[in-house]
Amino acid sequence: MSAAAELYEEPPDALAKALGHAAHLLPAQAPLASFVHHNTLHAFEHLPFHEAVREAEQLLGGQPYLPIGAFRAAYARGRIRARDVDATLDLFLMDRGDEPILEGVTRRALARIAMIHELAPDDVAQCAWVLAEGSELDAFPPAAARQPLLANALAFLLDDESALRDRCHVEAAPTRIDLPRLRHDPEPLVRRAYHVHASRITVDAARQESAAPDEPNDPSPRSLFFRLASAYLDAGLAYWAMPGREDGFFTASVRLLALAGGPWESDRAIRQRARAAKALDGEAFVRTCLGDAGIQEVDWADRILSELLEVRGFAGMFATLEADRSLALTAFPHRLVDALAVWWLVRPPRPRHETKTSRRRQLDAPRATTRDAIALARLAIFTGIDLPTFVGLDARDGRRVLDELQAFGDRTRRQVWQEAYERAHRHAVLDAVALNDAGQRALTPAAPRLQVACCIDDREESLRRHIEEQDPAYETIGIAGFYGLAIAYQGVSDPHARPLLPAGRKPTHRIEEQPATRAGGWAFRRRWMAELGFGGHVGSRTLLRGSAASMTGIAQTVPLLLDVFAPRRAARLRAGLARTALRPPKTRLSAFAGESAQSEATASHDHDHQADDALPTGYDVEEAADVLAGVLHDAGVHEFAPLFIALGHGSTSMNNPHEAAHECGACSGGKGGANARLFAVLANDPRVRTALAERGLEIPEETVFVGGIHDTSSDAVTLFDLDAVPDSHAELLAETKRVLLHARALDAHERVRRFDSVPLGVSPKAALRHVEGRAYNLAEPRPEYGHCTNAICLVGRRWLSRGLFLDRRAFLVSYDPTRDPDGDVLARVLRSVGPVGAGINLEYYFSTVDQNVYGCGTKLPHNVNGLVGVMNGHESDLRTGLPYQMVDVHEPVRLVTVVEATPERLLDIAEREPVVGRLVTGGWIQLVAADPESGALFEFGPGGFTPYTPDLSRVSTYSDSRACYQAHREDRRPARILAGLPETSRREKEPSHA
Amino acid sequence: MHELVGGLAVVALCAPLLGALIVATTLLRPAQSRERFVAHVARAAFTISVVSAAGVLALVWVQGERTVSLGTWFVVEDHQFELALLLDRLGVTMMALSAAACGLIGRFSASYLHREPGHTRFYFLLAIFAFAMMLVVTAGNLDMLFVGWELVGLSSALLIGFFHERPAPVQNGLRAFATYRICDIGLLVGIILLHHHAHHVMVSNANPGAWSATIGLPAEAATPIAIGLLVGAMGKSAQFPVGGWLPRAMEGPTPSSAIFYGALSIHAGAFLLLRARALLDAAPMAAAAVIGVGALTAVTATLSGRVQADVKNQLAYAAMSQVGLIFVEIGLGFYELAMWHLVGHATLRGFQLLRAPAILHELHTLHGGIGDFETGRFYGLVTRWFPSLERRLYVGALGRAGGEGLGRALARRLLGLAHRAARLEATLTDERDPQDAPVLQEVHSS
Repeated sequence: MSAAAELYEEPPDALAKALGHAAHLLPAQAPLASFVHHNTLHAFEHLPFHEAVREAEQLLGGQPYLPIGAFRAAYARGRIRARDVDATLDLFLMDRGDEPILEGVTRRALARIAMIHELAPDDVAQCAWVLAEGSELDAFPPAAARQPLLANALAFLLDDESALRDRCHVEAAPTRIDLPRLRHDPEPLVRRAYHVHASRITVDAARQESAAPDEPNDPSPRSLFFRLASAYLDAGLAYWAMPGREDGFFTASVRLLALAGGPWESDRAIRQRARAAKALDGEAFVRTCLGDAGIQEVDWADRILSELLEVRGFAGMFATLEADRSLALTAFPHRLVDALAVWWLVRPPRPRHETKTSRRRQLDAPRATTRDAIALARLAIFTGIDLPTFVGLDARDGRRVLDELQAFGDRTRRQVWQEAYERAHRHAVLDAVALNDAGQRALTPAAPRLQVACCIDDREESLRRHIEEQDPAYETIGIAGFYGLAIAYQGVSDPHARPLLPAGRKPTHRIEEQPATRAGGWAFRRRWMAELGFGGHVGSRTLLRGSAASMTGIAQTVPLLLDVFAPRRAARLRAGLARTALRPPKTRLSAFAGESAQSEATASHDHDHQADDALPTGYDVEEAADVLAGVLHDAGVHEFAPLFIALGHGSTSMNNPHEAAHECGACSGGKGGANARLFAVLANDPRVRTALAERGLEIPEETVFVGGIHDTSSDAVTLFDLDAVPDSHAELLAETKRVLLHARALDAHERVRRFDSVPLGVSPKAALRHVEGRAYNLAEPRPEYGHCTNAICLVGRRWLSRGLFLDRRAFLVSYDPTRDPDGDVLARVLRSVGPVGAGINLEYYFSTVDQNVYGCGTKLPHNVNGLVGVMNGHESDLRTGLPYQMVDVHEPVRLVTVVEATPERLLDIAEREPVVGRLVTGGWIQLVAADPESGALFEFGPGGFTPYTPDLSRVSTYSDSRACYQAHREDRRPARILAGLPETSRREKEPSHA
Repeated sequence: MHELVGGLAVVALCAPLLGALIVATTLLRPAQSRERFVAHVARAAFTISVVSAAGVLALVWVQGERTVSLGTWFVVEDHQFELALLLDRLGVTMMALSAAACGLIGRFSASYLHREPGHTRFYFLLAIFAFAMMLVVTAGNLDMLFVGWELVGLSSALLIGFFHERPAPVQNGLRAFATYRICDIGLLVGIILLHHHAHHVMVSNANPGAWSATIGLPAEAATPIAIGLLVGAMGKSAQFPVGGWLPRAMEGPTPSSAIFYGALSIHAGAFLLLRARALLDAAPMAAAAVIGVGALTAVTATLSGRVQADVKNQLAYAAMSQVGLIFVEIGLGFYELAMWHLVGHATLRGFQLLRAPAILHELHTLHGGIGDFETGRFYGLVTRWFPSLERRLYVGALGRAGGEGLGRALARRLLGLAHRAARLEATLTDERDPQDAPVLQEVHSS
């Protein structure tokens, strides 16, 4: 430890830099309750997509793309077309595609075969099977080419009977060849001849193959670290909290580890190290370790990163909480350096950096050779090289082909497949967009009687469609679900204020929900009930109270049976009981400054979010007018219907630690109802209306705003403050309620087609009942599919996307290019929507392609840890990313982003806005420009924008959504829907499908 | 009526077994088409089982306890191995509880394990477990109980290792299995001694409520038998000091954790002691040992449970401590109370484990009502009055008051023994020193 003193003299920057580097690359997931989707590889966003995924594979060990088998299956079922493969392959090979590798076999042909066919299996048993039982001549080439190939080969083999033995490597050559039989079934012999020659021209093929990263094989220190870290991060699950947490993770851990009797009992070295380190703080200890292990300063960053990656879940949590204190659930310090120090305390860094290759599984040479030979033989058969020609090839030819295959290796093949997969999807979208655009241009939109604003969320796409299909005079608008209101919100039942605004932005105002009437009794009853509940929670786990709870445990049979057999009824019963017992008061929002009566009292116990206390409570009129004018202008809303419903969204589910991941992403994983409600309250205020008029936005006096929330799991729609709606609107309000009720039933109906447990022929009413039960079903790991199908983002006027069936796959952002002369609005919109949409999309992408490294695996063994995250079973690292059950029907494609703007305008914005620019030029999204004037489409690619010629014949038209999705479980291609369009259009185009 | 009860009991017992066999044969079919069929078979088997068990329960409570003889397996001189079911109130209550819990979990898992690659395997093991557990609770003699007992252990270990693509579940499953096997030595010794003393294990209706062989033994005969059974019970019920496997068993899918370690399997040991109460009555020393083991477990487990920061470990320790209390009650002779405690605890804990993933949701709701959570009151007092004691208490709790260390030391001894045995075998069979047994090493180090 003597080195410590000297090392203190080092410039402090190096360690901070190294830790900063590590923090950047560690998983950046917040505690589960504030789950916000983000690009899993955010740290690599400065690179182009394909480079980034490979770099991340090197560093983090995650897969870059789906396994090749998944692409081949998609090809087999027609999801990827042959022309997509050809086009992307051409794009990838460019002018090198036509170079011949063998006589008559171009590089393109070779690559194509390598993509579509599995040439050589991965393991020994499969290789043996191919050699013995392979049927490549049965399956390929097509019958027409096959006969001559076989006949030719047979003639060649029989030509020289003495050579036959050698060519087919027959141990004891048959003295008399059974010619009739051979002519009847020449395949095995011919195949054998190919394989024999292939193995002759395959030499020295020992080459490296990387294997899956091994799990670190010494679980003990990790296990100890996990225990300490989860005890430290715990926000109220353990009955006895870890002592000394106020002094930080390292100090608290050192004091514990220095004592005897813990689970580290048998490891005396740890105890000694802890005793020695008592005087140090985390940083000093890390410096000491670096010195003791003799790690050079230049290596610090790499070394620290690789060390922290071994405990990446917990380390990432420390880094995330250190970067943003407001996410922390406890007031204790969270420092990444402490996490590293504790890790090194339980497992000191090894003196020399052991290279990773030493742990890699090396394929033994003979096996690689066998595989190569198989690949060569099959390649020859698949490309139709006939046997005489093939036998004429020598080892140099073999080498050349194998080198070519090596260069066009697994990852490259998957990269091309990925592009083809995306191309097929993108073009299906663009064809439908083009067809719909052409249809819409002939129409004039009806004046709206009802406007419903929803979040841009892909899950609201169907709700909006089902509202609009009911009447041409209903219009929906897509606005980011926080409605421009950057608030910290505390509902009457919330212990603290929580931010409801996109992650990374700071709240500007504090909004409280307050009882509108005197509610002393309610507050008392609520506290009493919660105390009782908490007492039951703790008591059932302790010894004596637990025995009382156990002896009366038989009473639990009732809720248990109800929850398992009648979840919907159980949920209703619970809600009803709670309502009866609590009688919650009517509430109002402290929307305007100076109107809050009791904010002081409630703010006082709010120690976690001290920053929020400084926020003004409520908006003043001018601020409100600014926000509203901005939001409405950006969304292109300048005409108002008599009733304007602003819907936020959230999601309720039971038995689901990832519940917050289904909530509104624009509200930091919170419920967006408060924002929508506040939006309506502000917009209804006459003073705000006057101020809006000054800003050039006239809202007619008769227009009434109503806020509400849509639960995307149970499809419940709740409207707030309905007593504020004047009587003149009673009829319209009643109509609106009917419309929403109908729309939510249809929304549920459209959703349940994805759930295998619901028969396809179910009625909307039954579907609604199902999703209501499903949300509260303990046994349901998929309460809803969340963003699972997201793939598209449309930014533009609703009139152009209205009539499109996008299968709940599209973020729909309202934007009016005709009112945005210099592109400022679009820049603003893309700056906020781009990262959110891409973040959701890419998190789903990575959690799908590697469910263990980027995703958190199956939910079934998950164990909630300290209210912070989940781990696998008894003890593991914190698992980050999305569980298998959230992504199992996801198609990992990058977001197809169609923006109603000219290519020039988009290039200009990409240059002006670095956030957008990185996503676009790096290929993290697939950008398409839709010219607002002509409707022409331009795809963005490596060479800039290129025009796309749509194929309108491929797009189906349906009378309504139901006709399109009914009786299908799988993804539906985008289509045109005629319901809800003005009559003129309906007569023009008859549905082409019933 | 006699035949009816017996017939119903056999149906309740065999329906899951038959279900398991059918489920197993579906493994020959392609995976995609399997799930629905398996769920149907399981549902049918469990429904039949639950209905029949309910019938047995009603008949026995109304008409009285009885023994149902199913024939004799074999006779060796005056030793007779008889197949019989003992349908007393304890047994049929446990039988109904087991059938109901398995049926419930079967229903629950239909959606919970949807699209899980191991879906068929899960149902197979669950059905095997249902059969085994019911066999344990209705067995007419210790020999039959032992068959069920072993199957319970096997299905438990295989479900802990359900996710066998990761090393931790496999290691922890092996640890549970090893613990079971070692403690089963006690049970086996008990059985052999019982055979020795009772000469034949006759089943008769003279003394319903207990195996007739266990009745009327003198203390010096009863004590070693009871101690043997206690050792067996300690393994299955995770008692001090061999209970370290229980928290580690939280590796399988949530519903399997709930039924094994919340509801049924964890109580098998307590049941065995209840069943052998005639022995405990005759052997005060053994009863004292039961009290000692139970009390030690209850205290260490509740201590440990208090510092767990994750929901499943917390519940595992909570279950361990309550089962410890049940042991104490049994040792003290409060059999009715223990029975009541057992059934209530199985329901409560099973339900809690089943909804363990909902803890975030539940605590968030409570959190809204009371603001910040408080730490334990007793702990609060200790930390205020004896600040120096706080850390020691905490560390001790983390280490299960020495239970961890003891378990580890035991594991090390056993490992040494296993290695020695392996070497011996290698010398005898003239093979080179097996450098395998990596799994054993991992068990030791975990």
